[in-house]
Amino acid sequence: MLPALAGIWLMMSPAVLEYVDPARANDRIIGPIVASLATIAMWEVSRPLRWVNVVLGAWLLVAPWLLAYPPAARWNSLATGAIVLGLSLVKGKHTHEFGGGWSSLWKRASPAGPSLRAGMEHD
Amino acid sequence: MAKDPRDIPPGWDYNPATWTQRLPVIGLAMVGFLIASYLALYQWRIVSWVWDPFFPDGSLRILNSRISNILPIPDAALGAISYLVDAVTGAIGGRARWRTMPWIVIVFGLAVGPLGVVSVMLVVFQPVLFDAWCTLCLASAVVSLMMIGPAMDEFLASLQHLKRASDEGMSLWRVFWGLRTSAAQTASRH
Repeated sequence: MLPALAGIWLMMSPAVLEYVDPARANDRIIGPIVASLATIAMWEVSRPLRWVNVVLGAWLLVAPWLLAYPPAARWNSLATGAIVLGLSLVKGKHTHEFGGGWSSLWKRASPAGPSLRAGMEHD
Repeated sequence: MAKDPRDIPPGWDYNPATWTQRLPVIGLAMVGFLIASYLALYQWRIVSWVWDPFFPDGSLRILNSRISNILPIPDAALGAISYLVDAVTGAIGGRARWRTMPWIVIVFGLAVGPLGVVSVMLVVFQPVLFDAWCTLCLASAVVSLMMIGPAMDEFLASLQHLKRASDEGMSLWRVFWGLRTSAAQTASRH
């Protein structure tokens, strides 16, 4: 939830803090992506998407040096990056079981449960 | 209709295909459809003006941009069609559809996912390429993103169902379409 707000703030901050490209372009690209991923990850089943935001948060921490940011943009990027990175590491409340989740799809063993065959025959 | 314990996917603690799970997504899809239709009406000039309380110039610039009109029909019209597909594929099937008709759940998941991705792409394009924002386009993007989370649980349940079927050597094709796997076929494998 909070990383979503941080992403939205990134979309607005070039206008508020008055900085220009490349910092502006970077924040206008990363901001909406962070906000979107954080929104989708609010649902427990798609929670794993938070790992992408961990990476994007880390990028916000190093971008000021790689892209030569002016001071205002730099501090903004560091603060927002720290929030996004830190909060995306939090797993959040676990309320439901999803039969092994997404990883069950590429694990060898079948997802939990009784034989399908038995169930299907008297469908 | 009696509650059937088989409606809850194995290893789950709820059924992701009940109407309480699906109706909010269908509702969001209808909202998205209305927003996108309105924007398309402007792009077709059936209405000559578009409502935008925050960025009146931005909306005009974005809705008339080259990217918006890169395809034979304007992008908002495509959006409206996608929302309609989401609503229809969200509505088809009963409360056990993750298991009885996986194909519709897969189509639903594949319709909801990319719509969200395209929306986010368009949100990135707005300021980066045109230095402008469009309130209703942003609203539509939010709607499409809110649909992904609640749609994905059902999608996952169907994928797990298909995986389980293929692990047990059943015909993936027949299970995908929700066809009965014949007794003869089952017997011959034992």
